[in-house]
This record gives sequence, structure tokens and C-alpha cells, in this order.
Amino acid sequence: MKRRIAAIAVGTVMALSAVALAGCGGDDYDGKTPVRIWCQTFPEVETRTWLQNKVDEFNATDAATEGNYLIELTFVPEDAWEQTLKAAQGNGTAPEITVLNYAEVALNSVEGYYKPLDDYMSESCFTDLLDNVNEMTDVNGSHYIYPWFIEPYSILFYRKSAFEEVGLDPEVGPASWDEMVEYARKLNKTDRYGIAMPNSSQLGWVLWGFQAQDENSQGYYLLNDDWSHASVNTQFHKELFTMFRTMYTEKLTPAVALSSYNEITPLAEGHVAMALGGSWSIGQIKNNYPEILSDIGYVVCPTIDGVTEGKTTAAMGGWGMAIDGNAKHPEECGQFIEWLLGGDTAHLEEFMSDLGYSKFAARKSVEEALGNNEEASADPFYNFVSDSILPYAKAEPAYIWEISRKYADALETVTQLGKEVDATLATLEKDLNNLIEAEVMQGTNPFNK
Amino acid sequence: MQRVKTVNKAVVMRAVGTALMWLVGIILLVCSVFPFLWVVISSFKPLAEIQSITFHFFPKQWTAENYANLFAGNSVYFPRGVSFVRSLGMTFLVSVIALVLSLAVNSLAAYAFARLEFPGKKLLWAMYAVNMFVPSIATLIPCYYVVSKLNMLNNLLVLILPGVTYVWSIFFYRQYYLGMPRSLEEAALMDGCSRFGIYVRIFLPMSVTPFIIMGMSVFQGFWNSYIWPSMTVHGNANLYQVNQLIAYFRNSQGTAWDMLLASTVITCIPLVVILMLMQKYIMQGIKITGIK
Amino acid sequence: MTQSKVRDTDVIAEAPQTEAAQAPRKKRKYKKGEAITAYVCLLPSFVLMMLFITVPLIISAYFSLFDVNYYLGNVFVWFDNYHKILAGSISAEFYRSILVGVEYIAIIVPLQLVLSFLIANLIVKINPKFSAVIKVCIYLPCLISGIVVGAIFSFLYNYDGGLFNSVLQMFGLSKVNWTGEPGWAVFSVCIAAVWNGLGYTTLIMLGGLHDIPSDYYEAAKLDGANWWQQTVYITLPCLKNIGMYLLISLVVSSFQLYEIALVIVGSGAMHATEGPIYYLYYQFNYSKNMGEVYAASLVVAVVLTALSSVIFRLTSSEKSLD
Repeated sequence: MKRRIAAIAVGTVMALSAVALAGCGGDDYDGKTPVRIWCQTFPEVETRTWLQNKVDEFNATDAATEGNYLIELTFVPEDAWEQTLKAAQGNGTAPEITVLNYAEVALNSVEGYYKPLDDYMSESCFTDLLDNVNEMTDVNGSHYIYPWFIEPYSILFYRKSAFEEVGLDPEVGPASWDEMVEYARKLNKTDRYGIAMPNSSQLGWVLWGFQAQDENSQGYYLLNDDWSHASVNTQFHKELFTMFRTMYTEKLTPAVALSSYNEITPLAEGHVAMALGGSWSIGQIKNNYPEILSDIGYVVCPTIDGVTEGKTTAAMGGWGMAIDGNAKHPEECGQFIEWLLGGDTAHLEEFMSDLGYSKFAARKSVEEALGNNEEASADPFYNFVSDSILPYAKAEPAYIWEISRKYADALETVTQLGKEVDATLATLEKDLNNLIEAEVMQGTNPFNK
Repeated sequence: MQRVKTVNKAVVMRAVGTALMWLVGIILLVCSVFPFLWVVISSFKPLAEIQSITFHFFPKQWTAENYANLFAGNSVYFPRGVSFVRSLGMTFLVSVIALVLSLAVNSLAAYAFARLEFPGKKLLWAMYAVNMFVPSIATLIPCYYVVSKLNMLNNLLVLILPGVTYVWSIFFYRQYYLGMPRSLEEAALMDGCSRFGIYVRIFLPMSVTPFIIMGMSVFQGFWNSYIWPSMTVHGNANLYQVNQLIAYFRNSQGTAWDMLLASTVITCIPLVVILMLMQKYIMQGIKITGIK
Repeated sequence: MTQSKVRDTDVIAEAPQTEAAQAPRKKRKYKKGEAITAYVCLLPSFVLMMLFITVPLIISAYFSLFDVNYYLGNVFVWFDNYHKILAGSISAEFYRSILVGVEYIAIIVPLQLVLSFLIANLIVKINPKFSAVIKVCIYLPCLISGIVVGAIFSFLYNYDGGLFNSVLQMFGLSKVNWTGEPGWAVFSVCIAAVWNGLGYTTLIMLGGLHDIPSDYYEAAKLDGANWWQQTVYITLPCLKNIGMYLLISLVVSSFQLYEIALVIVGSGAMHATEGPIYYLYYQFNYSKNMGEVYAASLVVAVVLTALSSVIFRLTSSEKSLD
């Protein structure tokens, strides 16, 4: 008994002393003003290393020392990102700069989440943006996010050896959806599927790559320009749904995706002969499966009519930096973002090289510099994406996620439960229009001038 | 003659029963150990092999590189200035302090609810009990607001104090105490022992089993927490918790499974050791509580 | 047998009876010293609870009445958020998630209670050295985080090349879509959850078994009671208090099952495995208005409280939650 009391006493003492110890762990800023930037963790550790090094480099520049401030970088695990950021926002202590993906920015900017970057960065930073990127980030004449990099999807990857095996030309991939199905049929064997299709839980955003192809769309992906109406009961979506259904009913694709859409493993290990992926997929192959790199072929994602040249075949995923709406040092933030992403092209060149040219620049001058860069211009995948995909790629939809989710749900009922395509799309259209009404979305498209 | 037969039958029956129990026991062992063993063995595989879709139990190529990376001082995965080893130590310290406080604070409350009569008992118990049903996400952001107003961010206290009062353990101890016979304390009361004295002399010694069972899970709760530490102590490299670091390996776009499994194995070791040390005291519980 | 029966009912009835006996007395007068001791005992937990649980809860209840915007300011909207969840645009998903939570309860709670009761009995009866090994090993799964548990089971459940389907194929059976087909997906998630939590419930059960005085059983054996009779007349009644804790904690934790389902199924299988916590996290991540999340989580809390009180009423005349 006495031992127990003694233990409690010792515990209390330990607690108190530890508290005393930890209490005096003050941060050391040398009297400088810290300007905080938060970035969630990306799968490629090279992104972290690059960003951390650049922050150090910036803190040693004249701009930072004369301004008597320093950039303080914090990486937050993806799992805790939403909680950490929202708690800080609610507390009024959000970081002054956040690294965000493009899709969420436009709607949030209307709600006052960010400061317009144009007030704090030189105009040349924005005129330098690729035209389609500028369109994506320009909300009524203001930019709320400055691009770091772009990752277009979907791109079709395949195994050349598998193509040869069944008598297909290893240098030419399928161009139309029909051809893609046809190829998958030929490539399908007992121990290998024709093609890897995205996992149902990821369909919501993966489908943006396909939806972006719809040229007859009345406006912006599934909705029209002022977001008053959804139209999905069209020929384009019927054929898309039918193509997906054929893949599943004929078992040309695994009934359950073998891996997450982001992972190229099934293709790399030969479980499938073709796979849809994003530009990041090539990075995984270079890093984890270098021995099969020469066996990997890639083409523009097949389209409805087989015309792939000069067509939009991909959505632009990717990340950039934004200044918080309550930031106390927006000037300094602008200075840093301009230095890092908007100024010297060498910074981003180094980044692209670190990442094995699996991510792409959003600025004309960086593209140009990479064009003159021996390493980059010798990389066939880099050239392929910059020439055939990136110029025509389209921003991800800005509307609420719920719309994309409902679309994916409808597709899942077709592929998994064998529902009729026509009826499903009719119901979906009704559902989406109800949603638009319930959420009062009409006229809220931030891009609609 | 007949008697011998029945005895034989009984012996056979008992032998069959024992054999059956052993069989079930072994199946249990396999079911619970096999996946755990898979984690341990896979932690010696390179990433491509772990991600491989074809199931291999043993690695084609054993590697300790995952562990080496984990303990390397300048791991690229972790925020600067954070070391895995130090965070192991810090997490242990936090969990131990929190555990001791949790046992003391919650069992005292449970004793009051189980054994003492006072005005407002029902109301207070309702106030406590309601918290068992509130999803943690409801209070996550307001709680952050509170600790920030108390100036506790990036401080050891923020890792410990918010989790100390744990109504589930009060409920657990209370259920335990409710089951204890009143005859013991009545005798002690006759002898002039105070109510608090009864808690210390009778209830605490009888709490070994519930303390170990609940203690394991409380300790584990602190040991495994990562969302709360990620929110509150990311500004202090000394305070990073070990599962907060493990979260840096995870990503919906591609998890570093090699590092994740290796670190999972390392963080499980202290828990397994504690478990092995403690399991025999669960037995000892009988000797003490067996007085009744 | 009869004797032991009388005795054990005596013991079981003792706690509630004395409480009941005190009930009329306490209306008249509390013992001053006892009340003071009680308040002192409650003080530390009460202060910490107020600071870190109750006050935050009040804050979130308050903001559940607002359209929360951290930048443009909050707008008081009365019960709009609740309306949206219970009858508005996100109500269908909400009710679906509650149903999924109930499915989890219906599968996990009985399965885990029965299994852990049997295993605890086995551990008591079997050779002590072996039982020590089982005690440690069965707890091992509890040490692994939900995410790793999910990863382990994903390997077992994989449609192509997963361990379970390979075994099925070995016996010439057709493959099962463990994680994609709505019916199977719920079941698969529950199995993983039971595997993960079984050790903990078994240890608690074991603690409860150890606290049953062995002379009850000896008396019963003298009377010639078999295992089944002993279980029904001695073991189960003696486990009542602990059983109540297990029941309630299992109901609440199954209802809140989240991480394992997230890793194994994600948002696939026609959302068949998206329980209430999944719904809350979904709203948390995608909703622009934190007020909706607060409102939804309070509604979930009310549902859970209601469920638990129903269980109390059904299983016990003694109202343990009062």
C-alpha cells in the first residue's frame, strides 16, 4: 500500500518536473518575425526535402534578413491535415501560407479564405502562367493560389511486351474508347487482366479526367456555366458508362481494383496489361521498378471518337500556395511565394529534376527553361506530356465534391450492380438538379463572369 | 467392473475435452499471431515487395534498411529536429504520467459514484455519462480553442491533461466497485476508518485487475494518439509523439509501407513487454479479491 | 445446487438492494462527511472534464446553431443545420450511416461477446502456462492501429490473390468479393473489427471470471451441476456488472467503427460500410460550414445515448446510467 502511494507521489513529481521542463521550450527566432507556412505531406519525400531546403535558402536571402522575418515551415501529416488546419482557422491562428490543391480554392476564395495574391506579387508572375493555368487560377481578375506544380491525369500506360505478345504494335496504343475495350479483350488472359480501371472509392475524382473530354458539355464538366442545371443524360456520358460497364461485365478489368488508382503496382507487376494513371505514375516506375521502364508505353487517354491530337484528355491536378485571409504579414508571404515559385526558374527546374520529371511546371518561362535543359528535353515522358497533354488539359471542377460523388455512385451501380445505363443517367440527372436546388448553387460559379 | 468402465469413460471424456480445448487454443493462437507475425516479417521487406499483389509470407530478400532509415538521425520523412528515438522516450513519458493520473483521478471518481451518497449524485453522473456517447470529432476543434486560450499549445501538458478524465474508465471501475461486497467496508467503518481510508485500504488493493486491464488500454490510447498531438505540439520538436511521426509515412496517394510497418513493430515492442509483465497480475487479482 | 443458487443470487442482489434500501434514507439526510469526501474524490476528474470535455461540448452545441465561417463571420441560423441533417439535403446519407452503425452493432456485439466469453472460459480451464501464452497472444491484435489492421485484412480479402479467395479456389469454390459487394463488405469489416477488439473484451471477461469466488463453483459441483448449469446460474449472473460495461462499450465502439472500414472498403461497396463517424468525417472534410458538423455529431451523440438507455432498460431493472 505504501509503495502504491509512493508510486503515485513519484508520478506526481515526475509530472510536475516534466511540465516545468517542457514549459520552457520556447522557439528561437532571433527576434525575427516568424511567417508560418503549412504543407501536408506528399508521397514523394523529395517534395519535402526540396521545400525545406528552399525555405532555408530564402531565410538566408537579403529580402528576409532585411525584412527581419523568417519563414517557418511545418509539415502536417495528411491524416491530421483537415483537423489541424480547421482548428487553427477557427482559433484565428491559421498559418499565413498554406499549400493547397487547386480544386478547393475557387469556392473557398469566395468565402474570404485567402487574400488576392495580385496585391502582393508582381504582375509578371501572373502573365507568365500558362494560359490554361491562368484560367484555372483567375477568379474574377484575382489569383488566390499560385501554382507550384501540375499533375495531369488520366494517361494510359501499358506494357509493350504484352502488346507484342498478342500481336499489337507496341508503339501505338488505343485511341478511342472502343479501341481501348478491344485492346483489353485481346490482352486479357487467365493470369492477367486487360486493363486496370480506377477503384470505386476514387472514381469521384478520377472520372474528372474522362469528364474533361466532353466537348459538347454545356459549360463546366457536369454543370452549365452558371451552375443552374446539370446535364449528364447525354450521348457522351452514356458511352462512357457503357465503356466502363463492358470492362466489368466482360471481366477485362479486376472486379475489385488491385491497388489504389495512384499506384502503378498492378501494371508494374504484370497483373494488368494497361492501366490508367497520372503523370506521377512514371515517377513510381522510375523509383520502384526501374528495370521495366523501357517496357512501359504511354499514350494520351483514349477519347470517345478516337481523335486525340489537340484534344483535352486530362484534368489538371496539382498544388500551389495561398495566403490566408487573416494573414498578418501578407507582404512577406507574397515576397516568399514570388521568390520560390514566381521568380528564378532554376528553383522549379531543380524541383522537376528531383521528382524525375513526373510533375509539370505551370509557367511559360519554366517550360522554356526546361526545353533548354538537356536532362528534361531528353526525357521522353516529359516531352510527351508537355506536348500532347498539358497544353489542352483542363482545370478540375470547382463545384462541390458531392456532385462528383453522386456521379461516381451512379457509375458504380452500373458496373457493380448491372443497372441500366439510360435509366441510371436519367435518375442521376434528376438527383444532381435536386442537389443544385437544395444547395442553392445557381449563380455561384466563381469563374462565371 | 461397471465402475471401472464409467471411470474410464470419464477419463476419456476429460482427455477429449482437454484435447479439444488445446486445439481451440492453438487455433486462437494462430489466428491472433499470424497477421501480427506477417507485420513483423514484412517489415524486413523492401517497399515493392510489401506492395506486391501476390501474397508472399517471407521476403525474397531480407533487408534491415527500413529500420536503419527509421533510426537515422536525419530521416527525410520527419520534420526537422525530430528524432524517432527521442519521440519514443517522450511518448513513453507522456503515457506513463497520463496513465498514473488517469488511474488515480478516474478510480477516485468511480469510488464516489459507486459507494458514496451525496446530493446531486444523479445529476453529476448524468453529466459524466453523457460524454461517453459524444463522438470525439464534436469536441476536437473547441478543445483546441480551449487549450490555446489556456496557453498550453506546444507544451507537455496539452498531451496529457485533456485525456486524463476518461469517463469510460470511470464507468468501468464503477461497475467493478459495484460488484464488491459491502461487508468489507462496513467492518472497516466500524473500526473508525474514514471513507477515503476505505478507498485507499480496501478499494485500491482490490483494483489490480481492473487497473491493469483499463490501464493497458489507457496507456495504449496515449501511446497511439496522433491527431491531437499533430494539432497541438507541431511547433515543439521535443514533444513529437511516436505515432504522430508514423502518420508522416501515410498518404492517400501512396503510403511508405516499408517505413510504416517497421515503425509499427518498434512501437509495439514496449506494449508487448508491458503486456507480458502484467499478464500474471491479472491472475493475482484473484488472490486479493478472492477474500470475499 | 439449490444452496449455491440461493447464495449467488444473494451476492448479486446485494449491491442494488443496498442501494435501493438507502434510497429512502438519502432523501431525508446525507451524511455530511461522506458527501464532502465524495466531492473531494470527484474534484480532479470534474475540473479536467469541465475544461476539456464539457466546455468544448457547450461550445460546439452553441456553434451548431450557426453558419460558421471563420473568415466572413458566423451567422446565427437557429436550427437550420439540424434541419439539413434530419430532413434536408444531406439527410439521406445521414440516415444511411445510422443504419450502417446499427448493422455494425448487430453483428459485432453478439459475436464479440460470445467469443470472448468462450475464450475467457477456455483460458480459465486450460493449463496455466498455456493460458498465459494465450492471454498475451490474444491481446496482440489490440496493439495494432486500425490502419494497420485494415492493411492486414486487405491482403486477406483481396479479390485476386487474397488469402481467403485463394483458399476458396483451392476447394473449388468461386471467389467472393469480400470488400466490393455491399453485404459481404459489412461482414468483412466486422470480422476485422472483432479480430482487433477480441483480446480486450476477453481480458475484461477474464478479470470478471476471476472475481467469482471459487467456492460457488465447488458448491455447485457438489450438487452435480454441469458446465452449462454453472454458467447459467453462477457465471453469467456474477458477470452482470462487468457485462453491462462490455455491452455498452461495445455498442458505442461498433457504432463508431471508422478507421478499419475506411482502409478496407473506403467509400466503395455502395457506401455500405460508411457508419456515422465516416459521415461526420466526410462532412468535416467537405462541408464549408463547421456548424453542420457540430450539429451532426450532437445528433449522433443523442442517437447513441438513446440506444444505450434502451439497452439498459432491456437488460436490467437496475438503471445503471441514472
